[in-house]
Amino acid sequence: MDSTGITPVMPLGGDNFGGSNSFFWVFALLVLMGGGFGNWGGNNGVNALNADMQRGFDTQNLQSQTRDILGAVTSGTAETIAASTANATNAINAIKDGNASLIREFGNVETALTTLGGQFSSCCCDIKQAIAASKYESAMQMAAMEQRITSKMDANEIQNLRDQISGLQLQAATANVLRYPNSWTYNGGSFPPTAAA
Amino acid sequence: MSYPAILQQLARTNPQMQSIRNMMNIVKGANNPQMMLDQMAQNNPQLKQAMDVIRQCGNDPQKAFYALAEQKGVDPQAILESLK
Repeated sequence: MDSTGITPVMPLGGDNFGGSNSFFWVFALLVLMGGGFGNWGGNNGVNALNADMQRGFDTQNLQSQTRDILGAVTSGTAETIAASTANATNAINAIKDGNASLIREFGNVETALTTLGGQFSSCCCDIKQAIAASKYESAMQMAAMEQRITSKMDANEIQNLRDQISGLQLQAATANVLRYPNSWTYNGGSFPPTAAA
Repeated sequence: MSYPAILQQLARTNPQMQSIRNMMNIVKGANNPQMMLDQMAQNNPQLKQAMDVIRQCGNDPQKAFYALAEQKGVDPQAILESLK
């Protein structure tokens, strides 16, 4: 401390105020720190200066933060949109694949039905042929039976005729043969007997 | 409005900024700017605090200014423009 009672501040910079710019940096630093001339000239607006400066700092910080937030939102939004688009595309492709699979399955079913229909038609023809054959055989059997029946009726008549013939032949054969009577009838004459003349 | 534009507008209209510029001109015109600055620091705690910051940065006010500007995230050129 010198004789004036003022504690000198250490020299500033290399030029010790030899140049004209060293104190400029001091005041620039003072502005950066927020002023502080409240004790000078009765300035009551130092707080306003500080407030203005602080608002300036805050505004710059807010702008920077806003830019960062917007960037993050934009990036996130883009990523969300891309992810949503990818999900939607995958879902659409999955539906398409599913539809294609269903179409193939329907095609297979249609083919199976066509084949089955063919089999049904073939089976029907076979059944019809079998029925026709059966009818034919039945008809033939009936005809044979009728034939046999008819033949049997002729045989009966023949047999009757034969029997008759046999009987006639027997009758003829025994016509002149003494026959012993099978029964007796006694007759003593008239009563009283009469003399022979 | 960008921050440099805010500061420039303050420099033109704000009384405190005008006071700082006036004091700066006074110190600039003094026969012994160093002593003038020391006397100011005796009467103004904020100025004394600024001087302490400069001392911490190796008695280099320019270095101290840029360091504090970087710390606060402020464009130093905008402040320098407001003082011109």
